[in-house]
Amino acid sequence: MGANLRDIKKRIVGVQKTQKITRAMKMVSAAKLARATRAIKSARPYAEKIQQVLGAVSSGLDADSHPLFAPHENTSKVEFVVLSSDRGLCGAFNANIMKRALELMEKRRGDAEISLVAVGRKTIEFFARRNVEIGKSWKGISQVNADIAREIAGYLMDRYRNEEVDEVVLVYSEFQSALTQSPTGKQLLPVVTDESEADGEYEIEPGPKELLQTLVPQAVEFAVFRALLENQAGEHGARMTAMENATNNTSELIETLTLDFNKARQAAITAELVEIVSGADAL
Amino acid sequence: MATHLSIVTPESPIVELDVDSVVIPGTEGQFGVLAEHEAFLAPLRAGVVEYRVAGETHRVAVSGGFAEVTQERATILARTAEVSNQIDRARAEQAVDRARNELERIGVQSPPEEVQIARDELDRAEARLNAAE
Repeated sequence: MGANLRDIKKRIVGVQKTQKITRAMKMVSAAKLARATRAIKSARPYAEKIQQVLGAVSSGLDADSHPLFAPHENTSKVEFVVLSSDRGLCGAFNANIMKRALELMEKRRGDAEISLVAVGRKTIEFFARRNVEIGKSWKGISQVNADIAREIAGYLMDRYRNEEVDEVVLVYSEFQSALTQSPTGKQLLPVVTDESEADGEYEIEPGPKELLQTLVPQAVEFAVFRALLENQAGEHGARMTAMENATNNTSELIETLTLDFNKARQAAITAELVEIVSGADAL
Repeated sequence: MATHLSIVTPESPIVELDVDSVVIPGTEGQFGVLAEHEAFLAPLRAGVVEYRVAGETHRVAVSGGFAEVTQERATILARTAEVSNQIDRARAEQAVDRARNELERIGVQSPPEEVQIARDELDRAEARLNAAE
């Protein structure tokens, strides 16, 4: 009996330690989530302006006015850029993105050759397990910044310009709230413009084509930056939720174990009493 | 009447206020903007944006991007932007030296893209130094 009691006590202490960790992780994720959502908010003015200006400038122009606008003659090579987190313990966050990526790839497999760019350790691991060749990968992005987005976008734009790929699709998790992230696929190249955003006429110096030279790469870089930001916020949100659940589960477990412990303790006391009483009777 | 100036980078808004006038480094040369300016768009080169508000001049080093000007506002979407008082003069000088050495080191025989990258780097470093207080 005594051994059983000690075992239960040990487990309670163990679960309590786990709970301390999950609770701390939840708090850390909450702080990181706050920072990540602030970053999304800071990027909003830029996002609105660049969409609007891109719409206004491109509305009067043909698709072939910039190489990144113009679709290639046939779209037989599609590159998927799959974003994930570097670390796990964030619920189904990465699994959902991978599922979406596989679905999207499956749809295109019939009519196109598919290549893969991985951003985040989890994407690399996932596709390596499936023996899918990864063209280029990034990992260890601890804090999303514009420089890393520029590097990734630069790589993709070069590939598109050199006709190594005909279409580039970003797969990432759109951040809606700490509880909901929806994995989405978005076409990055060729650039799609929303001309309905256009308002007003502009004088353009020196000319629209020259302006597009800076504007289009800037917009592509920003699209990548945005996706990285949303993914980052989603990761922290998902981890916060997962750790919240884990903390609740440990509480429940501690309660059950404590009940077991008390039952066992009572049984031990009863047994001891029976022994004493029967011992006294024997005298 | 004032012009509303905003300078934003992907990472955050840098400047957001009403100014009396602003000078912007366009690829075709610097241009000044006062209120009621005709609406137009222009790409930027690495340089210094100078704006005047209440008789004082402020400077911001910018690189890349473009400016949108309408009658009541001027918006600059830059790749990077730094307010003058946040630039460390000593470090900015070092960066200029480094960029200059790099440009000399790779020399004229290198591929034109590499020379261009080094030259851009030097332009950016010089712009930061010019903006530094």
